[in-house]
Amino acid sequence: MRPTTEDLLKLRDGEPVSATLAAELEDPMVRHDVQQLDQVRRELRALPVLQPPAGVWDQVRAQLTTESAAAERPSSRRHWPARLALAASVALVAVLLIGRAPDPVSGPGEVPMATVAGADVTDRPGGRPLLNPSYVSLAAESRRLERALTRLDNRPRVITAGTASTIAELEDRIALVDYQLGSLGTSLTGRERTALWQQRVDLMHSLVMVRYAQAQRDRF
Amino acid sequence: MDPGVVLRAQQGDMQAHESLFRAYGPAVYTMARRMLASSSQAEDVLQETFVEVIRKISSYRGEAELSHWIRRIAVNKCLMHLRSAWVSKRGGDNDAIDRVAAPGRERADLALDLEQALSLLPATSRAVVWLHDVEGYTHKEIGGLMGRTASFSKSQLARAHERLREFLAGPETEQEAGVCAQPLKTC
Repeated sequence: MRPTTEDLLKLRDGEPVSATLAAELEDPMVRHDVQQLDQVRRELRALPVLQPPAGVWDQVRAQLTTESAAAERPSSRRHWPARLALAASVALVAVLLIGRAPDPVSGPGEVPMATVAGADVTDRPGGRPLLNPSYVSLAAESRRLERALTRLDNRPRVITAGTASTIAELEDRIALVDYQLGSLGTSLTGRERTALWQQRVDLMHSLVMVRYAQAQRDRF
Repeated sequence: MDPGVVLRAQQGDMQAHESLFRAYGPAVYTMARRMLASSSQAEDVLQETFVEVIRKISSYRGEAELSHWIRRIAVNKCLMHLRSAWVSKRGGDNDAIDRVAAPGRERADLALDLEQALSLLPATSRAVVWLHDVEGYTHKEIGGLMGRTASFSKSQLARAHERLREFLAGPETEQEAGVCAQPLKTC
C-alpha cells in the first residue's frame, strides 16, 4: 500500500518510523515523492523577504509615546469626564510649580482652539519649530495643524486597532488640554497658558503624524 | 545585531528601538504576510510585535537569539489574529481545508506559483506549513501554540502539502484530484 502524505513527511523529516515504512524508501516513486516534499520546503524557505510599508515605524513610535503618557496619567478613558477637573487641577499645580513669570503677550479669556478650528490664520512658512514661542504663536501653530488634519481627514477604509487606539488617546488628551484652557482661561498666567498651548501643539503634531502615516499606508 | 544597540534599546533609546525595527521588521512582516496572507493584518502584527518588543526589551536577557525572541513574539501575534479570524469569519477551521480560495482560480490554465498557492491554503494549514517547514517549529510546539495536539499539526501539514502539490501541478492534476472550486477568500 502506498504511504500517506503524513508518512512521506515523516520520512522527509527523519522522524522515527517503522521498519516497514522505512523500507518504502527503496521504491523510486516513494523516494521521488519525498524529494518533492523536500523541494517544496526549500522553495518556501527561499521565498523573498518582503519590505513592510512606510509609516509602520511612525505608528509604533506614536503608540509607545501615547501609552507611555497614558501610563503616567491616572485617569482612564471610561472615567475621564469625571476626572477632567482633577486632571486640570493637577496640571495647573504642575504649571504653577514651573514658575509664575508673567507673559506680556498673554491676554485673558482665550477660547480653546478646538472651538475655532479652521479659522483663517496664515500658515507659518516652512513649518519650522518655534523658538521661545508665545501662546499666540503656539495657537497659530495649533490652528495650522488643525487645518493639516482637516486635509487628511478622509478617514481610511481600514484602520488598525492599534492606530485607532492611538488616535483616540491623542484626541482625548487634546480634549483634556482644551478643557483646561477653557475652564481655567481667566485664571491662567501667561506662562501657564503657554505651557498648555505647547502641550496642545505637541499632541497635534503627534496626531497629524499618525494620521499621515495611516493615510500613506491606505494608499497602498 | 550590535550588542550596544540592544543595550541602548534596553535603556529606552528611541533610535536604538528604530534600529531594531529596521533590522528585524522585514523578517517579521514577511512571516506575518505568509502566515496570514493579508497585508493589512501583517502590518497590524508588525506594529503590535514591535510595540511589545520595545516594551519588553528590558527583560531580554540574551538566553535566545534576539531574532528568535522577536519571532516568537510575532508568531504569537499571528496566531492571535488567526484565532480572531476563526471566531469572526469561520467559527472553526476544521472544514476550511477542503475548500479553495477564489483568487487565481480564474487562471485555470496556469499552475500557481508557490507564493500564490500558499496564500490559497486555509488559514490554519497555511500557518502550520509555515511554522513547521520554514520557522522550524516541531509538531508538538505547533500543537501547543494552537491549543491542539501534535497529531493535529501533522495532519494539517500533510493536507496542506497535498493542496500545494495540486495547486502547483496545475488544472489537470486538480481535476484528477477532484478539487472543489468553491470560492472562499481566506483572509
